[in-house]
Amino acid sequence: MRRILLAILLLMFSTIILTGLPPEKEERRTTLYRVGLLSSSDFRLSKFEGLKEGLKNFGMYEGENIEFIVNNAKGIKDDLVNQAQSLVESEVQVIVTTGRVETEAAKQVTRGSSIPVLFMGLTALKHDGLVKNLLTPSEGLTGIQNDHAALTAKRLELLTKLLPGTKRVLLIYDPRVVPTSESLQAAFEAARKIDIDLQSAPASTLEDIRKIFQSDHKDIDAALLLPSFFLESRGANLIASLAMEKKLPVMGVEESDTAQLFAYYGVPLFEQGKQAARILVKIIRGQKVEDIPVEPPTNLKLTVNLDVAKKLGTNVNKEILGFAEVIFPEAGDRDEK
Amino acid sequence: MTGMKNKETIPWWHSIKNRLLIFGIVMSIIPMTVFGYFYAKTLRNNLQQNIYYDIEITTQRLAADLESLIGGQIKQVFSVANVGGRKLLTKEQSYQEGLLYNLLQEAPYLEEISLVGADGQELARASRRLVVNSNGRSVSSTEAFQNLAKNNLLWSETFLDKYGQVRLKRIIPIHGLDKGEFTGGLILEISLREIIDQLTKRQPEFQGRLFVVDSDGKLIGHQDFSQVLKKTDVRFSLPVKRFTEVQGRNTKVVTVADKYISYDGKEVLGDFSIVNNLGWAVVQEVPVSQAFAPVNQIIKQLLVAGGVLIFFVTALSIFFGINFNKSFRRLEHFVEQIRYGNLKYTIQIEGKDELSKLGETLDNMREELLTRRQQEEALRQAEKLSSLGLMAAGVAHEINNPLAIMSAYAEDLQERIEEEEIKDLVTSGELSDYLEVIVKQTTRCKGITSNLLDYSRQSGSEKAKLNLKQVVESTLMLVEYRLKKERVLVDINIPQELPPLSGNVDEVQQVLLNIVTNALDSLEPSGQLIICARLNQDNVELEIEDNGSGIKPENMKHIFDPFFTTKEPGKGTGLGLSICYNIMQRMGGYLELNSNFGEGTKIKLMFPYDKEGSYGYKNTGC
Repeated sequence: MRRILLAILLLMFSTIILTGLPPEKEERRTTLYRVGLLSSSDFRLSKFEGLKEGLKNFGMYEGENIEFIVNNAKGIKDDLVNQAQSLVESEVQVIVTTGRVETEAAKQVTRGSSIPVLFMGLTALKHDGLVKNLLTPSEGLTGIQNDHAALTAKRLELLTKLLPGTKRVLLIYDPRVVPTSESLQAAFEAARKIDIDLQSAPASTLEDIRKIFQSDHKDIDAALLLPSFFLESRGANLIASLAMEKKLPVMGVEESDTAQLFAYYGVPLFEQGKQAARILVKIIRGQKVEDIPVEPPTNLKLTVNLDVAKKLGTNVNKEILGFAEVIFPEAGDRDEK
Repeated sequence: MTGMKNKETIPWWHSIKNRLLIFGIVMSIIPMTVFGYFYAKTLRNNLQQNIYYDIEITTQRLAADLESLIGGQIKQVFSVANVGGRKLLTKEQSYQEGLLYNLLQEAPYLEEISLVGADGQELARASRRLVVNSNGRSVSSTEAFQNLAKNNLLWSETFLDKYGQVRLKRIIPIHGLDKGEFTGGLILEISLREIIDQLTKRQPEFQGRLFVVDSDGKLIGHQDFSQVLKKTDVRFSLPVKRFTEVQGRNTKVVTVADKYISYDGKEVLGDFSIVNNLGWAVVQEVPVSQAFAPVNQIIKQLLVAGGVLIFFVTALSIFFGINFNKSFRRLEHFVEQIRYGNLKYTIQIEGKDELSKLGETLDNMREELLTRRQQEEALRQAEKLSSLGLMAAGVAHEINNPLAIMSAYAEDLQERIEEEEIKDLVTSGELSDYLEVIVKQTTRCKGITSNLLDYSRQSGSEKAKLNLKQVVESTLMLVEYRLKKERVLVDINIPQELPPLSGNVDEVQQVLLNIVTNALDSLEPSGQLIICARLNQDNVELEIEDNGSGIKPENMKHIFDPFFTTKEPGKGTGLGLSICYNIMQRMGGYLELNSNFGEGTKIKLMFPYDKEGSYGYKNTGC
């Protein structure tokens, strides 16, 4: 009897104490969110790194309360739809895309489903109706703009300011890219404003690029690339090497680790991803996509590669360099010496 | 007079088991609830005070940080204007542009900066997004330049540019050698969004949300930039209302955090703090659900712990209640057994508590009762034997008559056999007649002795169903000689339809014999004895009435006292009525005695009977 009583009392107090203890690491026991990431190439994966960094500000850590399924088309554009479909079949809560081609593929496979699409850096959204209303996007997709099309004009101006005496600039563009017409228009308007002779050349294949550089462009002082999946991925290396051969300074859109151009101006890929983190948190916490406006970009950055400039033999305006993040600044110093 | 009460069911609220259970539950719930309530309330109040304090402090800090962040953006520009401003105005445009771009790089939230001359002509401009016409433009008619000319150095109102960025402008003049001389200035635009983003990085998400309003209460910055893009109206928020109310008052504003419903319908704790020199307010709001999450967690745990405690207390109460009740039931059963006369039933309750002590005491009491019962039995037997002695002469006379008859018939038969042929006596049937008379008288003798033996036997405690009429008749047989001798007129009216009684036949007979003997002792020759019975609601009533001498009033109070007698020595023991009283009481019945001295005595015996199965008995008799 006494033993039974003692056992009951012990059980009672231990249960009360156990039930009274605070749960350990409650935050860790929250739902594990599953997010799909679609990228056309390794080049754009910097955005993914930025996204993960940004998510940390919201207490979300990969493997703890969020997991990513990363599908990378490795430069094969035609494979993007399959990769996107694979993410849908993996029952991800949201598909995060790194550019326009990825967004179009994701939009295609999520049509009719409840999976939203979050893009990390697109331009000229209204141009082809990808997103009709930036404040209340009703197409099941929202995200971050990078204003690359609109920034084409500023890119042209900065190129001419970096290279004093520049009079003629060649625009290389991919005619398949939707916002190209907007970029071209912005560039020609800017050229008129700053008194630059602008020429344009389309390039959809590597052969096109070779032809452009084989043509007689003796009077061209510099070249400017328009935003394009092809030009920044498969075409970038060829452009960089041919430009070096022709001693032609080229300004690109987004800095690349492999293809080294003279200069870039735009929102860094990492920053685009970081900025998208807050929107991703909103989506996975259940906020409707139409209640999340498309956000304009922040953190524009001018990058100048002085090593390339040196190899090209060009004189860079040092007054403007103060505005730039300089790569290989020692190249410029040596040149000065 | 005593009577037997039926066993009643105890209402559940009177049950000790249920009371113990209820007590256990109530005494666990009430203290837990009271303690939990006050603990949670105190905790909640303290937490709320702490949160209020935190909000007030952090809001003030964030307002100061915002002012500092914005001030930091123009610090470098001020230096340029004050130190090299006049020289800059005279430099080449490319140099001016380069310097302005350098300033953009130094101050990451500067969107655009332009250098203007005293005439309002733009000399150079650096912009992060816009292409600048190298020919310059005139800004003399712009509000910014007008403010510059008037030396009005306040920040402009905020505005949204075509890229969705919230911006504001500020003019920084470049003075000539003469302090009052105006030689030109720098017009700068900053992007508020990135400054707010920078500010919110200092504000972890768990500390709630942060937003900034201008002097009209219009939202110009928000931790969630979407709210700015959507132009969310935050003026419904209490701090914004308070801020707009105190605008323009030249008094120091002391803000106090409060609880309210915010612009999005959520209940929040929040406060505002004014941003000096800008006329804005930083508002911080923490949703109540988020703020009180720790308290709610504690309340949840208290509820769970309380539930577990109540469960165990209830279980313990049931356990003890059942054990307690088991002992009580055993005691109750024991007492019932004693009440029904089963004095050999013993009880033993385990443990060393009060109940086991009570059981022990009751068992001792039982033993004493048993001893007393045995003593009573012995006394009753003695009294019975005494009455038998008194009856002996009458019985002898009663037996003498049949013996005399048998003797006479036997002698006559003997003579006839000697004188006549036995064959003829057999043939005529006379021999048979003689023998029949002898057998009949023998049977009569046997009946008398058998009755006497029955009465003299020591009675046990066995109970049986009794027929009252038969018991009365067999008792009267014992005193038949006296009845005849004293020519007592006996009137018996006991209906055959009475229900059977439950009791010991010897004891009932002893009661009846005592009463009838007393009646005969008090009767004069040719007196009257009336015995009748009737069925009442609760008992069977047997009335024995005589018209004898009755009992003197002064003797009435001693009539049931043991050894009290008014008879001559050797005629009675004085125990008769006392034994009758005890027997009736033990049977669950009672005895009533009414006597009028000189007129007679009436005794009523009330016998209990089993009501179940007694349907159909008629109430006839006296």
